[in-house]
Amino acid sequence: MMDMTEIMAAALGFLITCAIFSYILGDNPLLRLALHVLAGAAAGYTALVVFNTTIKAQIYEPYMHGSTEERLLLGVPIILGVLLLAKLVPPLSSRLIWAGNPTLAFLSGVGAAVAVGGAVTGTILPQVWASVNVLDPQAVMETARSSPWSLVEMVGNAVIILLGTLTTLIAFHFGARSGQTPQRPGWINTLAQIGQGFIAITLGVLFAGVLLAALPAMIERCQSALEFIYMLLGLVIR
Amino acid sequence: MMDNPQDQQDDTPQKKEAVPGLEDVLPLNAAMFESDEILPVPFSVDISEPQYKHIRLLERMLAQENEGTPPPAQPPKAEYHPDSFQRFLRLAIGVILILTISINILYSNRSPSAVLAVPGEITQTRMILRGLSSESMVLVAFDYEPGFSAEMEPLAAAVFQDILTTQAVPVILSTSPLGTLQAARLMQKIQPPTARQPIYLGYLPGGAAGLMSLTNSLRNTFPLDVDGESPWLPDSANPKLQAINSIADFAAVIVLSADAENARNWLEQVQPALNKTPFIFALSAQAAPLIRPYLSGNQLQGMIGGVIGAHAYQEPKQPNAMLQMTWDGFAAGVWVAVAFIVCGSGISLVLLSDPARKKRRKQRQKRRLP
Repeated sequence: MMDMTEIMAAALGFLITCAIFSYILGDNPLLRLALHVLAGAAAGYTALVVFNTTIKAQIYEPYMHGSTEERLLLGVPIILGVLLLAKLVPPLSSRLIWAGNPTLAFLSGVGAAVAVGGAVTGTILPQVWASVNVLDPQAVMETARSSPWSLVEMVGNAVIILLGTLTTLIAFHFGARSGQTPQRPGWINTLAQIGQGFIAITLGVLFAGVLLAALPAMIERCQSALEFIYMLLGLVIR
Repeated sequence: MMDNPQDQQDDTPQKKEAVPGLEDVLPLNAAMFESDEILPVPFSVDISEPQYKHIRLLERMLAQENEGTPPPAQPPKAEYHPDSFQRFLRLAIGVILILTISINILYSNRSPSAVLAVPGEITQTRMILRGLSSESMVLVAFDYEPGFSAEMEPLAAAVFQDILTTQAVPVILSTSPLGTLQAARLMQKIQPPTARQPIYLGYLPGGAAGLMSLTNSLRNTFPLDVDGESPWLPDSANPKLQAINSIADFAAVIVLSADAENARNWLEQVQPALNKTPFIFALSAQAAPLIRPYLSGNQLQGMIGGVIGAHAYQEPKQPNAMLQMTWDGFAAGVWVAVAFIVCGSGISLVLLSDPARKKRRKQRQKRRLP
């Protein structure tokens, strides 16, 4: 038998689900209330987790129990963190707004360096290499020896990848020489239209992905609402 | 008196003009304003019948101006409100989807359906996960928000079923503050009492920079676990973690993610440091297409995408209960969505090919242009 806490939790879940589903009637105060409750609960929990796992575990505990060297090293993030507060506290922000700039500069610089380095070594180079490998003559010959159908499939894939890559890049070509009319040459325009077709297919795939990701959430909520209704009926019958 | 109009075929200027002497006052062709009434003219002017009709028209217009009679009332035109139509469509689609899914949930037999073909990457994932042993330590990242738990939990359950069966130890972390909570919730649902307890390292802040730190120095990045204890000490609850010094020492690294950007961060920051450690993604359906190129580029050893991927991954003999609860409603929902898309596309095509609509659309576009 369910205890009172479980019943209350199920009722709350049912009410919030109904409030979210009320969006099909348009934007309304119930929907906004549900969204604010969810955002607030998530923000509260996040603040607690960040405090425990970052501020307490990575700053407070090492500072209290660490060696002198560790404490000195911890001074850097502590000072940068305190300076960042100057941007947030209103009485300070009017006069000392510049004090948070070094922290932001540090964060931006590190973030950009990590992102660019990772993108080059983890995405651009491996993906370029993978695209080149598709057209590797040695691999094509080896595939041809194993089975003709695999060769057809491989060549077909290679052609689609090559055509898709080139025409999609061409679709974003808007260059014109000085003195010329700002219009793409006819052959580039034709290839760009093929590229737009590839882009449209890609966007369609992404839309389908979003739909497939959203459906399980709807199913789970419907299931939860039905279970709650069944539970209520059971209680009433008893 | 007026001559017979049939006989007036000459081309003198008076004959061409609607009102003699007043050029361009009225259109020349007044035959559209039919009038059977021919009144006597008090003076004798040589005019044609069309010219006479123009005179009559002018007289009537002047008379109407003097009378000030209101124009005849026209029936009110039905107004088109795009907002109300959109609202109706949203309501109809929502109700149909909810009803279809609810009926499927109520009448589902929850028996596993056959999978026609299992993709290569899923077979590879199965082989890697079922090849783990009780000595293996597996790093699992729960990088999805609670909003995606309905899709990601059946997926994670399918993966964890194999990990727990092999008695491997999952080491759990997350780059999302809510990830550890998601992991604990899943474990509560699926973990058998005999299975090994996972190690919760907790939240990894910093996004891409945090992942880089994890790659460079695993132990310094997580000095404490979620309970505030150091998991790396010899007398800790899991002494096997002593053998783990870097991320490449794990038997496999599995990322459960609903966000393509987050998955890309793992690929860019962590994958180059993994050496031969298998790297597996279990992704939401919305992130899987964007990460698939990395699979083709051999940067990933296995991948499962969405509920469909999880359905292909599970063994028909050992169905995943969480997945079966979702699957029937999911299949029905997909069919309804496809029907909506096809019908909507068909109606749009028909409306687009209507010439009157085309003309109106062009006029609207012209009005929008400065």
